[in-house]
Amino acid sequence: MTISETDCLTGYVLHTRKFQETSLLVEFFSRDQGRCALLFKGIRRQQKKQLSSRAELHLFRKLAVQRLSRGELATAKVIESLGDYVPLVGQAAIVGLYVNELIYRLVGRFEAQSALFDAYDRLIRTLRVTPLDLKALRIFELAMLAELGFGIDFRFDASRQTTIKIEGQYDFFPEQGFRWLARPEGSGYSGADLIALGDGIMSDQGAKIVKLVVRQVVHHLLGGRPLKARDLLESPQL
Amino acid sequence: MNDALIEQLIDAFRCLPGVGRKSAQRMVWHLLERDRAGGEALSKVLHETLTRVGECQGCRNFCETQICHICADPKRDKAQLCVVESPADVMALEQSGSFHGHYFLTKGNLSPIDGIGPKEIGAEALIARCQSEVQEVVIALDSTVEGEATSHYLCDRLLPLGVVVSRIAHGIPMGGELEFVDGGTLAHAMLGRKPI
Ligand SMILES: [Zn+2]
Repeated sequence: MTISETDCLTGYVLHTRKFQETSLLVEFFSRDQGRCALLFKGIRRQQKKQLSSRAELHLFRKLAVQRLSRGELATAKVIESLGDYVPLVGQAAIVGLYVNELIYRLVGRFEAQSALFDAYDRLIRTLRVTPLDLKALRIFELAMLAELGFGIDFRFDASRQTTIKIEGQYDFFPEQGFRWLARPEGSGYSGADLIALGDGIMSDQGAKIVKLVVRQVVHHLLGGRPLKARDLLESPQL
Repeated sequence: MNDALIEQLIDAFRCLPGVGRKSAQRMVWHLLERDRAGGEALSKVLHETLTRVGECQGCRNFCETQICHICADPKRDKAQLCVVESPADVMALEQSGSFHGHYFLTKGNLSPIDGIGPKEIGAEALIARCQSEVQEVVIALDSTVEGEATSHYLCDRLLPLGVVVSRIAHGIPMGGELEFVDGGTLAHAMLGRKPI
């Protein structure tokens, strides 16, 4: 049997679930074919025998896998682990679970999202080295929304159909974007901060704004059904 | 085709892990043909177990009373609390004879996609438990990313209480030769190195 190009997938494991006695059902985020469900038959038997960690099917480890069948639930096997083995530790592991839930819930099956995949790949590699780099998370969140077609325009004032003004104060609405506040009363986002974000500058203040507006957009996209990982992100900087 | 009751019982046995239709059928015929008394005993004890066994209020392990025998044992060290995932882990640690404190069971690791959050792993109950007597919490969860995230989350919540929080070491198995250990385990062992 020859292996066709489409049967080899590069990607990350988003989630695993035990299936029968010896198999694992894996939600896989591949670069070229988006999210897909793969069944790794007998892999838990190998794991037990080797006395090693789960024979490669770890979260946040880049893998090459081979699909052995077609359809909604294809069987597959691991070809090799790509890149290094350094795991995500501490807070990075929690951030990783959050990001995986985002992908799992927002990306449809078999929708190729190679740019989003590359952003995910960059984030995971950054978190391995600097687990506390939350700006990298914020940059990923913005890239993700843009790739899904819900990009946030930090330069545009939707209420007056004009550019954001440096001295203005703005509110944010998921379906519209930023709207100028006639009477800010201390609330709202400052035009200067938004313009900086529009220029691609992620300051500490900018990161806080991104966190809040992304949260609103994701909530909207999920139709109000809460993101479970939100409970884990109670610490103020997350 | 079997009679309705037999079919029902075959189906019922299939709720056990590793039991497919064939083995379920064998079990049913075995009980009917050779061991009706055993079957009676099984059904009685199964029913009683399921009605009377609940969760220990101290550690969340299974027990028939409000407090399990480990939590009730006055000889055990109340200052030490070991956080594990499952009853099987408690059993394994008990058999190793390496721990003499109390336990707390998470009954799973954090997994947002599965809907398992802080509430499901008993985070609040654990924190409540650590507000008195407990001085050291030993986290003994899986060495997977999910276990790591759970350990970190609990550690974050427990440290402000002023308890000492530690994690069991992960890495090279006893008697293991370095060249046969997989890359992931090796990377973990490297991260967890300590001065000697
Ligand atoms: Zn107990």
